[in-house]
Amino acid sequence: MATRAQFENSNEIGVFSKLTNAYCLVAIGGSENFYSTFEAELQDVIPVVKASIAGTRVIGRMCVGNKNGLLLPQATTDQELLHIRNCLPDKVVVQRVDERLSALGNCIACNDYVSLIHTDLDRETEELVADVLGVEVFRQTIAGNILVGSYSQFTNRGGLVHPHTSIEDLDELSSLLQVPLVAGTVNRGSEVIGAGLVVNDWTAFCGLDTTATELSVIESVFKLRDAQPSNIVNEMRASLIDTMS
Amino acid sequence: MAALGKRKAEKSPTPSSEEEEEEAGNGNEVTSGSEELDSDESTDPEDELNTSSDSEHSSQPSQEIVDVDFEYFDPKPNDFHGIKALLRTYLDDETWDISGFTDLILAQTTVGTVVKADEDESPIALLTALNIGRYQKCSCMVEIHKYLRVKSAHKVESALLEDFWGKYAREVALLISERLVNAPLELAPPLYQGLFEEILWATEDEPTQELRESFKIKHYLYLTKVFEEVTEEKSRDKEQRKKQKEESEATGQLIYIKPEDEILHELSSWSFTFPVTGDGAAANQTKGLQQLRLVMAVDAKHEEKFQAELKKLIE
Repeated sequence: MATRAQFENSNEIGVFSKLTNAYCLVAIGGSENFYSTFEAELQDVIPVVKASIAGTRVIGRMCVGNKNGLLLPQATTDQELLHIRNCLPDKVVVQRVDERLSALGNCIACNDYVSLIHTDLDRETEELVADVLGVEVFRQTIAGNILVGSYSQFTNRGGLVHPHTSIEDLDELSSLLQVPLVAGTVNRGSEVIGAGLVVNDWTAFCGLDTTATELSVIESVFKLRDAQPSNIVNEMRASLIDTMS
Repeated sequence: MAALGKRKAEKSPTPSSEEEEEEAGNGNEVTSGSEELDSDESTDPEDELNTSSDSEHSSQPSQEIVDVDFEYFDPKPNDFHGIKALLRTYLDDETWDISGFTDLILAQTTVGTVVKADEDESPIALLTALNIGRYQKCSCMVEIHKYLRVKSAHKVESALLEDFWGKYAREVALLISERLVNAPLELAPPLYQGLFEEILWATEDEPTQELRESFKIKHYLYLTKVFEEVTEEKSRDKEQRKKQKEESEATGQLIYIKPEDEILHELSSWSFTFPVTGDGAAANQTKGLQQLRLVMAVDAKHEEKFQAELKKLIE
């Protein structure tokens, strides 16, 4: 099920939250609405943790994680690190990374088995990603953009990438990641998928501006409502394509 | 709709970089002013560069002149995100239906102008007017009404405001003027001229009688941002502080972010201010300036006087 949400008038959900199969991190916001939206969907299944990173609320872009681990930038304070470590399940390894490119959420995109990283990321960071997150690492670009974490979002069941990704790139990425991929937008035409959408294997959250068509595509490609990606081709064809010639 | 005629551009007083070229658009109103002294303009920047590089004792780095063309367009669906960004602080940090509000502005193609550096870029400035009676039932307008009602709660003007949303709603338009902070002042006169002209044409050209009536506007309601100077003595002991607070509120010198707001304020029938509660407020307070919101009602018959005063301000 995909839910629309808003953080203090901003539709960039992916900036203020991080969602994985084992836990969810949420920024400390002005109103409790944001937190309760997540709680309502995820309660009793996985812990929803309020956190800040380096004193900021843009936690979604600063950290990267999956069910195996969580990587935080070096600027994370000790108290923040301790708080997160305490609240997360024990099997999740929480680690600080000393990396020049500190916005890890923008540089790294991952699911529980495979990850894409920024082409200029350090060797040590790449090894940490492989160890802590337990994933296979690939240096890739998406539609010519090196910020793979910003322009894509994928789970173990599917993925959504920058709308200008070519068919060849889509095929290549899809075979690397071993999940079906779709090029699309979120938040009424925004290309920054990572900022507008957070998703795990059974639920997704996106900004309030997201149109019904975008939501359909999301629910379809991430298999959130027992639908096959072929639905995009069959049932939704009429609404997505104007002419065939 | 009648096409815009060629307008002679006023030469800007400084040998500056903004040119506004003008053409009659075909349905797409691209308005800009033609610069007659083009050749002269191009030598001036070179002169400036030469003089600054000649004087080696000058501590200023040689400044580059950047030429920017500003063009005026009708709001288009593509501008959704840009306009939404300009309106983000319209109601301070209130959570409200900004998207719906932006959609209203985009849907009203007959009245409303957006300024951009280029057709595909983000809007730099926005000016439009929405008739309150026409859009009253939309959720975003209801939220704006509620916000203004709360902020004007114990003021004299509260009743006047209620009338604007009540019995006079059909004659009042909400004036929306937002722009980037450092947008040049010269953008304003063509913007306002365009707005008043479009409203006039709409009273003749709109398809239904009801729509034509809705553009016969008698009053404009305008919400804008201003700063107020806060006296330094406020930080002294408590009693003095209380006294100073009352005094400084009474003598608070208003600083207008958009210069034409000052003219509008002088011409307004009534107005009131209220403090801002968002994150921006705290930052500005330390510099001796407090951020406020100013709400004012301007009678439509002052249109010409306003435009004349604005012209004088530019020169």
